[in-house]
Amino acid sequence: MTRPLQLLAIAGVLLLISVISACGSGGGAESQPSATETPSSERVYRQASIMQQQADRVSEQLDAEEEQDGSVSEHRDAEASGEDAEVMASGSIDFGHRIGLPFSRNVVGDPDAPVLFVEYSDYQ
Amino acid sequence: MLIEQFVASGQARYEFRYMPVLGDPAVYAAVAVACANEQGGFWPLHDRFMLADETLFSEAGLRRQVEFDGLDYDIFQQCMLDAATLPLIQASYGEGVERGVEGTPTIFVNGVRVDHSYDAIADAVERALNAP
Repeated sequence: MTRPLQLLAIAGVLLLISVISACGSGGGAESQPSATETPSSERVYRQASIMQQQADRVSEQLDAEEEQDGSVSEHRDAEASGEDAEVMASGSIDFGHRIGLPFSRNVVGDPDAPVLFVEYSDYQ
Repeated sequence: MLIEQFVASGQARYEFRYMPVLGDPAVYAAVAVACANEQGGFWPLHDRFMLADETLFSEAGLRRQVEFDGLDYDIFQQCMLDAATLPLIQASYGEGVERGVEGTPTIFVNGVRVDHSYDAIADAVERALNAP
């Protein structure tokens, strides 16, 4: 396994643990306004089992992708480059500072625009 | 807002990718937004989490927002319970690691990593527009 995939595997395990923790505590934030809706332990265990299976499948899939000819990033850049134009043009935003802009899923803007911004970010 | 300026002018499009490096709440939020995305509701919930709306970290608060955004809460809830979007989050995170992302936000302009200052982004856009 290559170093990036090792990092990915580690990240996957950390994410898995984080999601289980976050969902198990109803969100994980100490400052939650409501702590009365914590999922039952049975639900959390079922969820953990499903997530583990999914994580295993993803790991196997990523290994298989690496053995083929392209990396994950190349695949995703191709997706965002307009090759899936039918999906790209799926609506326009009707609120906030992006009002009127076309969007599809997590992409906003003209599918034919010559410049592509990709931002890796998180929620705090 | 700088990015929106270029997007609104038609010069650029913008794609958000999940890179939850800030711990449990960030992962929880990413899973939730990705579940909303499955119903075409990415941007409203994305914006609420970006505003650090703490009410979204309770089931009731999240439900209120999801229903306000016009999404089917039953479908959304099942997506959360099944962690159906977790592989996408993992893939996005792994891809970020592969591309050398070490912190957030990290921005690429046509595949080239740039600083997230006004000048750096504007220069990168200019270069991209003038590229042969």
